[in-house]
Amino acid sequence: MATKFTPLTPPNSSPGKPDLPKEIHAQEFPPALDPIKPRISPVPGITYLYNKVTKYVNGSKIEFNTTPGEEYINIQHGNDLTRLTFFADGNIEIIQEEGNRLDEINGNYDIDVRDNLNLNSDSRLDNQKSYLNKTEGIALHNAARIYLSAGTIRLEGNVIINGSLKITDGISNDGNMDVAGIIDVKGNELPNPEYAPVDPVAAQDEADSFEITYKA
Amino acid sequence: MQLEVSKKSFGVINLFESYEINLVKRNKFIKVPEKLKINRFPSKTTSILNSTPIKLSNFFFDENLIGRPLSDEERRTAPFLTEENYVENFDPHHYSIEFLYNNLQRLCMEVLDPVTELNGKRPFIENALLFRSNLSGVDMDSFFADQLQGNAVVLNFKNDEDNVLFDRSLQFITEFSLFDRLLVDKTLKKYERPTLMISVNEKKRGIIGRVGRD
Repeated sequence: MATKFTPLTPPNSSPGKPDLPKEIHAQEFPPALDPIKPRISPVPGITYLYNKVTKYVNGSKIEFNTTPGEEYINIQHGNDLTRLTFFADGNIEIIQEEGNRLDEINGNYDIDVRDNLNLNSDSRLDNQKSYLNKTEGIALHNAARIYLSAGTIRLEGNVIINGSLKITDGISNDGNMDVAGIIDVKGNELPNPEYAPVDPVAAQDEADSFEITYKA
Repeated sequence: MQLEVSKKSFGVINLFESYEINLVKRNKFIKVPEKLKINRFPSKTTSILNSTPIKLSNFFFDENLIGRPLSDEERRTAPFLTEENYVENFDPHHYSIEFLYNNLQRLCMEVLDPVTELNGKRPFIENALLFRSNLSGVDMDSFFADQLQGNAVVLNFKNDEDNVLFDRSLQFITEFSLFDRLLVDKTLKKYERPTLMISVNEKKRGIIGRVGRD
């Protein structure tokens, strides 16, 4: 018959200097993962003997907590600014309360996210030689102003503009143009004057005047 | 037509160096495909400029060839939108809308669609159907009469360097279209570019002429 191990009960703190490391979660000691508190997982519970900690002089530590249901693996710097933690619920937290971060990759870098990918930043700069963005559903760009700068900008498909359109250079149209409102022409004439409204009084066309030399 | 044939052109066949073929020109107009047949003529339409365009061919709608309201056949009047947006009436076109649309569609089949397909772009249409509420003083055997009946079009090509599109279209129409008159206007006096004036009607005489202007 297999021997069943049970954790020991941590002794209550007594007057005087605590004689237990804070990682065993004894009374009046701070909770686990302090002072960098968990962001997406709840604060894990710790039971004495299930938590194994290797702690160094400057406070850096490697921590394996195997308290049933509360397991986590934690690597934390002694400056209490950065930690990497693997939680029991599958969450992983890499926390930098200060400092920068660099991922330098010589090959490919694939990020495969099955659910949502959220990026939050003050500003974002993408530098690449080519860029392809494919979206199956609706792609929404919401900004105060959007600038597109290229030698040629090509829009494939129908374009609907809910607002006014200002063109500072010429415009050409190989197809039809439907105008539900009024065309206000500030220049000399419409591109094809034949499409302009005609005065009923002057509606009668006259024959063009020319001579014909017939081919023998 | 006499064709010179190189022996190499036929590989081992060297029995003849030339042969004669006869290009038989059609004498019947191109049939309008079922999908393009007009089932509802805009006779009840108050103004073609305010209604849904009617497709005459693969590349052209009625509004491409008709620049102004025609008429309501039954009321014999056609409203007109003035600059002040008042609706006024004026005498309708002399010919019925069905007659004009059928003629314009035939013109598209014989000339405009093939030329568009040949060049890969639509020609610039200087004018097609012209308007007259009566025919007094009109020479009925004239290009103008064809313009009034929707049988004629005046076209040219913008940005046509070295007149490539113009020459290609002229050659094609001459060889393959069933036209009555084909007038070539290279005077540049009325139109900015070399221009073709083509009429298609039952006479099918294939008359080719050069336009001169004062």
